[in-house]
Amino acid sequence: MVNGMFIDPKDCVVTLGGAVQPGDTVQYTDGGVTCEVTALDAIPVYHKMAVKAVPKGGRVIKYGELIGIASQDIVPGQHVHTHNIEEPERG
Amino acid sequence: MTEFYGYRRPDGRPGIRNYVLVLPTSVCASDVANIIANQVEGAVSFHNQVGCSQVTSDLEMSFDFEVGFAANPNVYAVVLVSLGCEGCQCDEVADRIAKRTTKPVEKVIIQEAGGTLRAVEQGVRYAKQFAAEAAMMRKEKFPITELLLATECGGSDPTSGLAANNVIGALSDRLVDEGAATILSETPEFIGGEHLLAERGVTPEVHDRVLEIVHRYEEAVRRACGEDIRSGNPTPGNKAGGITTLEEKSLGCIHRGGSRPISQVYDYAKEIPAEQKGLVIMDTPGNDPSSMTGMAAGGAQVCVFSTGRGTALGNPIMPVIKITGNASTYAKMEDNIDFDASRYIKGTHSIEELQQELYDMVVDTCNGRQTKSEALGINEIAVMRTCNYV
Repeated sequence: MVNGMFIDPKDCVVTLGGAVQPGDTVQYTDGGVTCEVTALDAIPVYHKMAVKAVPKGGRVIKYGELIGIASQDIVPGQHVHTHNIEEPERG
Repeated sequence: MTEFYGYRRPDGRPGIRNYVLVLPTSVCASDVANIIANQVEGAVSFHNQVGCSQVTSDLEMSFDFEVGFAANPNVYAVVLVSLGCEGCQCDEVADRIAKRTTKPVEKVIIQEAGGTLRAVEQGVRYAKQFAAEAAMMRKEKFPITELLLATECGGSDPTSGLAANNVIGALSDRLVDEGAATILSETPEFIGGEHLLAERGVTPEVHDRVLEIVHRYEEAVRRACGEDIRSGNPTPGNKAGGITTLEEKSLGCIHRGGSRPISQVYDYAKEIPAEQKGLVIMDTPGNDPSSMTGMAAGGAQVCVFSTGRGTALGNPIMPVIKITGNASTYAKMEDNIDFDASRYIKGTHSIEELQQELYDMVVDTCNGRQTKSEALGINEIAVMRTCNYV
């Protein structure tokens, strides 16, 4: 069991408190409710794991704010990093 | 009201160190300045990579940083060392210093002294005299309201935005509430979070200035190099640590500005007047040594610097307290890092508890406690510029 740090209710990712292997359970708290997601990828400590699905082109939210755009469909349990999100366009 | 012991300067401000600064006005004077400082106990110097062969706007920033370093309250007196023909002319630097402070200043000009050896001899004699005077100064008590705290974030990773910057933000809020002043820096690392900062501006002017400095920074890089700022930021180390985009990095970075209103926005290396209290922004690069240079030139006496990957940096005139939220970085680089904020991530300490500890460490540092970069003599700096050497 690895702890995930979930910062804002709008977030679709958690930051991992430890490294995970596929099949490991990640636990996090959303508004007092304990949630669990099974990791699908090997993910290093402090990297991001999706806890909500984001379709390709969708907004990836952390700290309650936009941090990137999904460059492919993202499902809960996946590693979220440079391989599947891109810098948002500047307005 | 918390008090600390400092050295009263002619302009009334308290210094927390009592340095004789041997200040090279250009690259060409840097070796001589360093030889002089190495010879005199109590003297400090650094390598200056600017001060000549610069377009006017860059040269003005060089003047601002040199004059600001000289005027910083941690400096008792200044030995200016110049080659003689550089852009930052010795007399002009001295004149500008005199407009800010009446602290003692002497000048050594290598071309006039007759070369390196004679310039070193002149400089050592001046520095030795200043060091003897400085040693006679007595510390006095000052209220915490006289403190100007710089904050910096470098080599960041996701723990910076989860722990280290949060503790600094809580510290900044407390100092602001107690009547002191704090600086949030690193304009390119507002990108993606600038709207959150702008809405904390105390006036519509401050709101607009926050957005303007971010826009101006992005445009300057695009104009100068034809490239997006993101080609160099986040760094490979940021990404290896788990930061994916500049927006994510920025949102973690700005936590260290806490939550109080933003009172003013200052240009790089400009004087932050003693009357200025509260949280302010200085328009500095994301590059840590040049950002810290700007804040030290602004008059900051001490800096708190968060790092996820670990950094060895310090500053020649402003003690730098380093803090990490990454337990393995702290374990690996304890020789360089002063404060372990990973205890928040472990769940053993709250942000408030860590804030209290960090506050005490800042006050101890003001009172004379050496930071780890001071103990190791780490004095490297860099200076912001927008154009190539000309």
